[in-house]
Amino acid sequence: MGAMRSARAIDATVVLMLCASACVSARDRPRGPVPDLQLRAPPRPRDLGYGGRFRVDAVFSGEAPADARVTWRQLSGAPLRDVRVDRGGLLFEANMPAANDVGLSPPSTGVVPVSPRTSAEVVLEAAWRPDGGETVRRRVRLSAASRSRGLSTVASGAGVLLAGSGWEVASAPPGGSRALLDGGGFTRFFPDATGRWVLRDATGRATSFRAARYDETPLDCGRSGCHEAIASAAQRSPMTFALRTLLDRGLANAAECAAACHATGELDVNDGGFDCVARELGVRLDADWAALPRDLRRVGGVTCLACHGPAAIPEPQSRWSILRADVCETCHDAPPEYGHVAAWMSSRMARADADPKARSTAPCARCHTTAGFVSSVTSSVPRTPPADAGPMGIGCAACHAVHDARGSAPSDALLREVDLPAAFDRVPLASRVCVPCHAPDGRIPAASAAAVWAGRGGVEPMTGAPLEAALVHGEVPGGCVGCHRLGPPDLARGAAHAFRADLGGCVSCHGGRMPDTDAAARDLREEARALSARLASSLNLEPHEKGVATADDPVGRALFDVLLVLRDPAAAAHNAPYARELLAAAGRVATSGARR
Amino acid sequence: MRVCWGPPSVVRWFPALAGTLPASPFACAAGLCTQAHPRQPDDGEWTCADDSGATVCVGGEPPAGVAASVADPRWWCGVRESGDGLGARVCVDFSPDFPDSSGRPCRWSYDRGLRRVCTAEARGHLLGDPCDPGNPCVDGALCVASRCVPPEPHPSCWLDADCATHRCRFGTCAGWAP
Repeated sequence: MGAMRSARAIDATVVLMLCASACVSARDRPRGPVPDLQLRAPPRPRDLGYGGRFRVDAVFSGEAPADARVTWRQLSGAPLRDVRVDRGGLLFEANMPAANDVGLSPPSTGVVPVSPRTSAEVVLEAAWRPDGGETVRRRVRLSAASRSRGLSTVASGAGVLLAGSGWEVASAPPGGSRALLDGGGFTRFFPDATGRWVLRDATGRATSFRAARYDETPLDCGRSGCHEAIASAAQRSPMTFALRTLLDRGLANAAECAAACHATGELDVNDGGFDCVARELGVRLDADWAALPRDLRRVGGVTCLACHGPAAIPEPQSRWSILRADVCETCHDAPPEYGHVAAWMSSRMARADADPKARSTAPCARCHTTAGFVSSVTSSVPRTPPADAGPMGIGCAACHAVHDARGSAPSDALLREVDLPAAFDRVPLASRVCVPCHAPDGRIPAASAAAVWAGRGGVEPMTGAPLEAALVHGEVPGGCVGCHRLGPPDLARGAAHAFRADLGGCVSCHGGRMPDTDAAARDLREEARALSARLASSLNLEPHEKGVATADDPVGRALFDVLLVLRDPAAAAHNAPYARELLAAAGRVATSGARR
Repeated sequence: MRVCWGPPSVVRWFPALAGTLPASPFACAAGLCTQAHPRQPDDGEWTCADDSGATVCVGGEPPAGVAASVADPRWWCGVRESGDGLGARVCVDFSPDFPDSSGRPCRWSYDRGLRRVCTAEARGHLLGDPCDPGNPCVDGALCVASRCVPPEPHPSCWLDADCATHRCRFGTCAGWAP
């Protein structure tokens, strides 16, 4: 039994390491009797507003040297505007970058998602050289807006950016102030009390928010009868282990990285997240997992709350928003280091639902919206966005299931597992999720790349039997993503999410020469067009747009095979022998004069 | 102080329990000292209360989305034989943190976030107090070597109703027998 009722000494040597505003790391502390230089950041250093004016004071503890000169430089971020340095460098003033400077694309109204890229984070360094001493450097990190998932579950203490106009607080929880600030083209909402907030915009539309600290939110999501299977799956997820893995690798000195994206919560904000609790406990991140205090372990990792937000489960009408890529962007949109989102945004996937018809028509929504796809391949409750939510693209949640209860051993990429027809059994795990939208759906050959690649999906026109061929690129590791792995060249991680084909990879298997797929593609396309004209000159062959299914007779089946080839612009590269076989089968019908 | 339960039970003096993490700090103002991150038995969900210088917690629902729950070795834990939904486990810490050595009473507050709040009120009888026939121990404690100590802990109860004897003290049913 331990010592009873003994007062425990509080460690007085603790140092704030995780960069509170204007904090100073222990490593940077000057030695000896020279005055200590510190930076005094403005209040709410992470929510200064786009274009907002701010000042940082350089102050000396003890007696300031009479001739002290502090020099400043901006280490990172979009350029500050109207910089003014005064009083020998003791005063630094500037305007934060504007929203346009960082490419922020806000919605027309509601919560504005903010990623590391669009937060307009800047790092400033002040330097001072004492007489005869080494230069003392101090850094301060500021941003125009805290990162935001765009959800209605928000951390108390962090700013929430609102688009639209005329916002006012309709109701606040006990202790809540009415803190709304306008500036930079947005309203900034600071939920300074936990509980339910209701805000209204100029149109009278109400938006309900749930605010809480991360460390005060129960983590009993996995109770029997609640989200037991999901919690169990999350327990195997690499995201859950994001911080622990860093610690196990001895990377604890990467404290800022760890606190920013390998843990829950925002830096420099009193939100009950990892950085906040570490500051409150005075803990430095140099320990192994088991040596962290309990309340740090509970927010140490990309936990449930890191994506879903703290506080209560959102109201039903808000739950669709968890499918937005904005949730993932709070960490994966930090180019050039983390370029997953930047690459994805350069792809057609990100624009898949730009046409409103693609969002509002069920057959289209199945493959053109994240919600439509997820509900088509899972048994989960549909999370259909409201009509005015705007386009979201085929977002991260379509292909990645971060807590898919189906998988016994989640892949590192947390790819969604989908059921496929037996014909696609050979498609490797990394590419199975591509197949439902890149292979024909019944009699509508709307998209066919995966089918042609797999040598599956066609039919023998005369009999209706499956028409199959070898998977000629089956040895390419990863399947689709084994070749579709290129993206913007300046991204360190995640560039593959642009899904551009890496033709350079062809050379190693094709005798050191690039195969002439352009010529093969041209030949295939010309032959397919000629066949389709002969088979169905009177039909409108725009099944993708019109939803026209081909008939289940020899001519219809031949048309289906031809359309498989036409609907895959890269059929020659994916599986040229199969494409030729499909056209040959259709050609036999065309020349035989088979009738319906 | 350390107790070795007998028979006969003995009390010895030892340094503070080694190997556990430092306490989270108390913030004191207007006679109240508040601890924002009090110790709990592990990383799961617990409901706790202070009782005469000991902390007793009930719960134990595993934390969802946490890499690995770590049990704090300072807690004595056991299974609670009750299906009332309050929790399947009971744990007791006989050496909780205090802001000073005055032995001020503390309580757990769940309003507007979890806090452990220690007041400047007059202290009551606590475990570890001196005792003699004229100065008895707090209810449920034993007087051993002139010190009030708990009975040997076998945590299994949160409420009196959890015990066949209808008497739960410091997480252990009074009259417990293996």
